[in-house]
Amino acid sequence: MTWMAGLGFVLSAAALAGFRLAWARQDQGRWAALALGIALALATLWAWSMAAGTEVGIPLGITCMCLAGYLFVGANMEIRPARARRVTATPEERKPKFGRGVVRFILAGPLGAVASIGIGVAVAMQAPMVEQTRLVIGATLVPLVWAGCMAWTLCDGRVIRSAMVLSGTAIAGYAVALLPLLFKGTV
Amino acid sequence: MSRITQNQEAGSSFVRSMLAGHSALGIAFAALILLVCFSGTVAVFHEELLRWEEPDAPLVTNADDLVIQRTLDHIVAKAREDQALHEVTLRLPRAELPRLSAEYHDHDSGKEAHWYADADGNLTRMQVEGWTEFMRRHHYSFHGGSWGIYLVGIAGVALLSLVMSGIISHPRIFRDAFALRLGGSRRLQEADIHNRLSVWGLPFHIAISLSGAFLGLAGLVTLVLAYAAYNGDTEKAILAVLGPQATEDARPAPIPAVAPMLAQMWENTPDARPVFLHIDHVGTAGQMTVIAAHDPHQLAYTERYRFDAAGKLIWVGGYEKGTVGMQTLAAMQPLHFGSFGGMPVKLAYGVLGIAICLVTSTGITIWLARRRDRGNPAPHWERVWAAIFWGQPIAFTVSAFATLAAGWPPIPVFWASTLAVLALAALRWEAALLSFRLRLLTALLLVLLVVSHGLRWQGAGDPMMWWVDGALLLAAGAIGLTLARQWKGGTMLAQTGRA
Repeated sequence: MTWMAGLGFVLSAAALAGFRLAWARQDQGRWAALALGIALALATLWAWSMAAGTEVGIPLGITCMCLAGYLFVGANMEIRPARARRVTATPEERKPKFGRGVVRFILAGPLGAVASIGIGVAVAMQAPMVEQTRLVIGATLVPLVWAGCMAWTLCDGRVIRSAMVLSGTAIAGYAVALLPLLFKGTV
Repeated sequence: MSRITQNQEAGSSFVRSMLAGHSALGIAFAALILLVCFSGTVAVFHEELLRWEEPDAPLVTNADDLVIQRTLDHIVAKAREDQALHEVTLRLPRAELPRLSAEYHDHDSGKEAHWYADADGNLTRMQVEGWTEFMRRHHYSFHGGSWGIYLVGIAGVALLSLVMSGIISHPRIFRDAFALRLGGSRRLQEADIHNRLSVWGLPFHIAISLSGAFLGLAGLVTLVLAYAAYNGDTEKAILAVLGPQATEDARPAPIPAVAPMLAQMWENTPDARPVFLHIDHVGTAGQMTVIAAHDPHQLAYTERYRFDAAGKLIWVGGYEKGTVGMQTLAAMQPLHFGSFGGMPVKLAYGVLGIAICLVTSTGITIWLARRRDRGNPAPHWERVWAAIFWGQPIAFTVSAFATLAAGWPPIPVFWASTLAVLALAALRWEAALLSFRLRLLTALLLVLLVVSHGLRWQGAGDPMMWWVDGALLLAAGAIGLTLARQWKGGTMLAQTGRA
């Protein structure tokens, strides 16, 4: 177990070295280095799985590679001399409008929540899985879909389109969840 | 215009738009996310902090069935004496927390008591529900009950949304994965720190934001699912996932013996080590015993074994080897708190937790630096952000000191400290100067906390207190080093927010 964990550490560092090499090269060799990095990353997960079991080993391996990534970035640090400030290209700035802000807040917040819960309920009630899995996957989808709705709503310049899509998603979700029950007469 | 050019322009417009959305969402939620992430980083070490807070509690490394039975008998007798026998819980010793503790709680009267037991199962002293418990609950809910838990869940959703929009709005984030340019333009430096910490912490950020949002919103979602799928019967929804519960049958019944229940559990899983034992509706015909046991090869922190009133095993949770749903549910908590690989994983989560606090902070300082670059600086917001960022370690340290040294309640002390630091932003100090002074204050407070703790508990038996005190001193030293560096060399950068 201990030596496999040691191998896991070594392989994670080697995987990062492969990625670092791919990052530094501009020629065709970068793709070979990238493939080597990916292969070593998979080998890292294998070594950790052997050391601690698949369930614990995979998150251990990923955590290890995250930290190795920070170390490689730290090693690649470049200190630059002071430079005068300059105006640079900035992301698109929307002129703040109170009404538009409120609408976006409602779309990203409450409407996004309603739409995501609709999807969650649809999966929890109708997905072809055993009851426990349906319920848990349905519940897990709620924050995931809500986060997606939030990201998309805030970036979409067309508020009406966002509203329509989110409303449509919510209606579709609840329809998928409840219509079969209506037909069966259980609601 | 060629199709390629059109596609490039559309893509670039989409990226700009996504970046604007990422920026707006980050600005709106930064303070809340910082509060949740900082407290979460501290909460990863709640077991060590619990030992640090009460280093004189008896150290118990192992408890066999006899000791568990004796502890159970003692806590049941205490609860009877207090006329509060409704539910009892025993927390058994583990490598991370070598303590044996027992507690009772009565919903109707609200009476409860928490005790430490020695290696023979005798209740020796009451537990102090002090600073560590405050800190843990602060992360769960800001002490705001169900609404507080939902707020923390919403912070998780916002963080997950920021992760998604951050990846989409930075097309070069993977291509620049190793570039870290410090010095020069502050905006560029902060952007590099923000993007590098984000990209290499990405799996961790996804895991903690998704599991945090799930855990925070679970109550709300269960309620909605219960209404939709079980005609409003939340108990039925809980039953479907968590298994049978105690029933309302108040006829007196003997409490089942511990050893036979453990034997049934070990028949099922020989390597499992019991972590806690809980009996609901104790001493009634409707009682239900739950034993939670840990298998080191499983990601699930514990498997749950439920026993009926006669002590017969009737349900195994399936957290370790059950349905995909149950295994997913069981993975949420260990992935969120880093409780799946002992101290090395906790330390890794500590580093990654600090990184996510820095990602949040640099997100705001990029925005502030951009405003400065455009000739539209916001010095008041720069001061406010420095005060919010450094207000957290200060408030945690002050509340710990006040609770440990003077027995003051941590909640008002914490919020009073947070507001006091925020009030400093009203002084017209430059943001970098404010940040410098707040860092100095943080380091001094940490040293004060360590010294006062060490003096008070110098004869205590738990060596963990010295490790935690050492770690706090190390943190103070690290902050001191950054101060010395800034004092000696000044800064090459335009001042903005967290320096």
